[in-house]
Amino acid sequence: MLTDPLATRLPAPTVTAAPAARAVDAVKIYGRGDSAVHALDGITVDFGRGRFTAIMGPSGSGKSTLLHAVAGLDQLTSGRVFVGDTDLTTLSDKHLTRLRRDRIGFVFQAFNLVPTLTARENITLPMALAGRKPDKAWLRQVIDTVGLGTRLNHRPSELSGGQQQRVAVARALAGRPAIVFADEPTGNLDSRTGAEILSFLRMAVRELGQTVVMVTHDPVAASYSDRVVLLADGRIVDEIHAPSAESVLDHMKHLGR
Amino acid sequence: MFRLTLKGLWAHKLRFALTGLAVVLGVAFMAGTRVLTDTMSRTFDGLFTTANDGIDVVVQQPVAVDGEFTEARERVPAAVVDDIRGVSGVSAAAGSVQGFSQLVLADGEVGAVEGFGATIGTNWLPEGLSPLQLASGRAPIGTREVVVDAATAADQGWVIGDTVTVLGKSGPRDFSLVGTARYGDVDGLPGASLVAVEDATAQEMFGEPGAYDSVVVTAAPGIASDTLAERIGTSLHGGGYEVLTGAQDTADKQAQMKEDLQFFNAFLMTFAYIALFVGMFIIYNTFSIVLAQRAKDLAMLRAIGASRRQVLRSVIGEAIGVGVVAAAVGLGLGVAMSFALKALLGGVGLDIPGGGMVVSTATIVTSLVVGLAVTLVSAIAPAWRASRVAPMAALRDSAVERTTTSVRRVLVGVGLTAAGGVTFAAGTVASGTEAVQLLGLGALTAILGLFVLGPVVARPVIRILGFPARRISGTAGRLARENARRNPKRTAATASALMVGVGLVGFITILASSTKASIADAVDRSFRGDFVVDSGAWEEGGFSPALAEELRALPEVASVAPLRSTPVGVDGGSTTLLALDTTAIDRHFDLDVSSGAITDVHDGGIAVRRDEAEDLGLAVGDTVTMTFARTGDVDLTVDAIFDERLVDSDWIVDLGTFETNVTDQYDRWVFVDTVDTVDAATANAALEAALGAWPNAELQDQASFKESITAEIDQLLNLIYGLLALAVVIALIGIANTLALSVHERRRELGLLRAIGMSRRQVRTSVRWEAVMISLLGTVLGGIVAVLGAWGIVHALQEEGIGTMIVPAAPLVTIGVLAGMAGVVAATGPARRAARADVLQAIAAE
Repeated sequence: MLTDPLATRLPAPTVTAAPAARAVDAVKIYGRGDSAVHALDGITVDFGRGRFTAIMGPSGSGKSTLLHAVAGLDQLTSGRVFVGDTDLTTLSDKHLTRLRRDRIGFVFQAFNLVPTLTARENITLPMALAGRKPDKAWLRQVIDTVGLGTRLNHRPSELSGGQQQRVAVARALAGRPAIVFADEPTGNLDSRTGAEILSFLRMAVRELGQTVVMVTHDPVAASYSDRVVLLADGRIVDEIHAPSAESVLDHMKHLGR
Repeated sequence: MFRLTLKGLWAHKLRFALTGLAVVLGVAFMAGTRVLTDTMSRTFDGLFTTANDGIDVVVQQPVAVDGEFTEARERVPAAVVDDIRGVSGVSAAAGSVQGFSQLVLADGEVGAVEGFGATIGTNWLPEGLSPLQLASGRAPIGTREVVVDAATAADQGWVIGDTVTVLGKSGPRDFSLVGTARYGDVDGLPGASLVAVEDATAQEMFGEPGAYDSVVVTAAPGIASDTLAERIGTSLHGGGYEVLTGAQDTADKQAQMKEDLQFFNAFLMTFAYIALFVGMFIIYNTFSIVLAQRAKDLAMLRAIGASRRQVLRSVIGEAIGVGVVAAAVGLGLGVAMSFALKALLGGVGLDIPGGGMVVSTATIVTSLVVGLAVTLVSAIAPAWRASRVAPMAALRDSAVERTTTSVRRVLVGVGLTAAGGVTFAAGTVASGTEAVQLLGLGALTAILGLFVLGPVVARPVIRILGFPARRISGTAGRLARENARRNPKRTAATASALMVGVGLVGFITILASSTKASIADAVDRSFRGDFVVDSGAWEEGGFSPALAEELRALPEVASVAPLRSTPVGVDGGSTTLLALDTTAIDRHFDLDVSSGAITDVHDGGIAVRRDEAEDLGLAVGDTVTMTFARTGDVDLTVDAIFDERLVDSDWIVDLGTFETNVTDQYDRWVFVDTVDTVDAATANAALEAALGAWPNAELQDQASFKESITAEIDQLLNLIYGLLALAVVIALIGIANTLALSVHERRRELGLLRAIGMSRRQVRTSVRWEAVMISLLGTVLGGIVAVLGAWGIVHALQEEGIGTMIVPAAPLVTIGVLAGMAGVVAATGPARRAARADVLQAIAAE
């Protein structure tokens, strides 16, 4: 069991009324007729601004589908998703791309970085694609937070898995997005390195005021969040506030019953 | 393992189809060329058989001078025909005239002087002795009636009763069309017209009064051809005639034509081989990439117990599969293409009559063998590499290529390039076949050297070439540059294919520009007179000397100097001898005489170009022996040594010597100098008016004279561009192929880029830029090859009068721009596929 590196928890920042992102009656069906699978079966959920939310559930529960839908990577069969006030279901591919670029940060499980670019170039890539200059002070703060100082001019192949994920976190935060989505960000890392990444994400929420939504199947990872949303068969079946690894594990055990 | 090979082929069918396309196009070109030349060969075989149909014996003078392009024979006196008629066993005999003629076509233009679209002037022979049979009307009688082949008459819309102007030895003459004729069972000859007039008229216009070019004989029933030939030979004993049976004569002519077609065939085949050579780069590259992408699968096979040999055999099996299918498809396409070509040739008047296309066993075998061999040879290195994959690789993540500049690569590359350069340089100073072989071998070796060096130079060069992309398209351009640099071997191999095509295009362009510039220089330097009247003829035909006399009579004209030429034998070989009015030529044309004086060259004298004089060790006052068709060996004294190379001949005599020794007097060019007090426009008008009666005369001043020479070069240049286009197209297919494979390989990365905010448009832009950079790399390398190659050749041709190398900026920049644009076109498919990359699938965890 991991020890929490930030044992003394800071109080959560005040949550403003409007959520950073939300899904309303989200339905996603794969296939048709008898073979149809309801990956999302009418989910309504808010992701609070300045909060760290974890989405959990067993394989096939729809947790990744939900994340992809809210992040503008996947289309819903019905229902709506919002990032801020923007209804993603009405956006064209072009506008969705722009939204992802300008208002969303991503951390994936693996293959997070472009192998031909240096760590620094990877971090500023979304801004470069937008043709914007990064905010230098903020960028420095982000880079310092994830502790990459000396390896910025290295290419991904010269970085360890943990360092690569740190670069990914830094990229996700660099553009001050409205919301950061992390999809099993520690899935490929050993537990110690994973803990570091999770700490960075939590720090980003606590100290930098970012909003993070993370999909994970690891109760320890979930314990870094402020709130855990539990999914099963495409529905929200439970919620845990201020979770600990034990409480998450406990709730998950009850899922099967 | 065989099943595995088949599965391997099937699983990657699109990639292999693209690979195969490179072979298909090359083989198609080759097969098409062979089918076309075989068909033409059979056609001409048939025509020569028709020409001697029913003829038992042909009597003519032997070849006296076997010139570079023509054979010179004297004619047979008419009396010999009567002698032959008296030989027992002869059923009928007639003299045949076949000579230079030109037709004034329905549109007022004059037909070609020689080659394609030329006209053969002949006499109308009695039935049974001629392949010509009336299709309509009647045989020509007297001096003003003509029969034209049915095809030409139909083509020109001529009907019986029309007036047709025919050019002959004495100039243009109007004839009344009294009949049309078929040639054996076809309406006309492919690419040529026939005019037939009565005997005496034919002799006067196309030959020589009182003489025939040959005598055709038929045997009485029961007499064999060879028996009769022997009898005629005996009875003409002492005349030195060549007496052949009809069959022998046909075989001779067919063999001659085969030789000519061989040249045509070799010319086209060169381009087919170039296309196949370029295709080899594509095959090599595609196999390399596909096998690298499948390294994991192959390693898995090794891990579960397949031997290296089995892996190698399986991969080679795939290459054989691709080669066989591609060669077969190429063969089919080639045959189809030859039909299209035949139709095309028919459209411009070169009808190939009779029967279908000739698809010989040799064509089928060669196409299949070459197609297969090209594929196999190109695939061997990648296959070998694939078989070396360690079983452990199955367990590792597929690595990104990490080419460090290997010292061995640099050494081998530089070594090969240098060896190629040296061989090429040796070729430029060698001569004849040896020169061609050395030049070819040198160029090939140097190209292989550059191919080896490619990956070393690719990174730095792309870095520079990538600047505009970065500037114009920002991050998309930057990503493109890095992508083009990430697999330098792949990028370089792809670019190398284009390097060959662009290199050849550039080389030809520079060579043509240099040649044109040198000719222009020579004209500026040596053309002193006001005008030249060009007949367009060089080996055969031209103006009657009457034209020069008519011009001389004009009050505006101060001086006239005609130029004639004939093939002669000299020093065991043959060459072209020129004849000039040596007393007047200085006023029109500066021969740059360095020793003796051109005016000293008169009866029994000769002038020789300096290079030739040095080669033969001749100085003024020495004697040289020239062999003329009419007079045999004649000793001439060297009176002058000149240096000007514009007139493409090493030997010049005066008109008197020419008239003494040569039967047919044709002026090829007539130099004209006008009276100084007459202004140019008036002089021009007066000359044009006088030349109105000469449809084949073209009046040129210095500028248009220059233009007419350079226009011929441009024509040839365009033909070669067209033939090289295939090699360039294959190289572009290579770029598309490489990019498609790269995009497939990078689908995860593309998904990531799309997820974090790269627009579809930016993805497309990036792929396009990558293609442009590969194209430009190939173009830059090709440009280097072109400049160096052209420098060597121009250096070698200095003796031939190409003095300075001109690197024409505009055409070369155009080639670069076109290559870049072609890169964009080649990238269309891959760019679209990249932009469509499914984000979710791409970023999904393994």
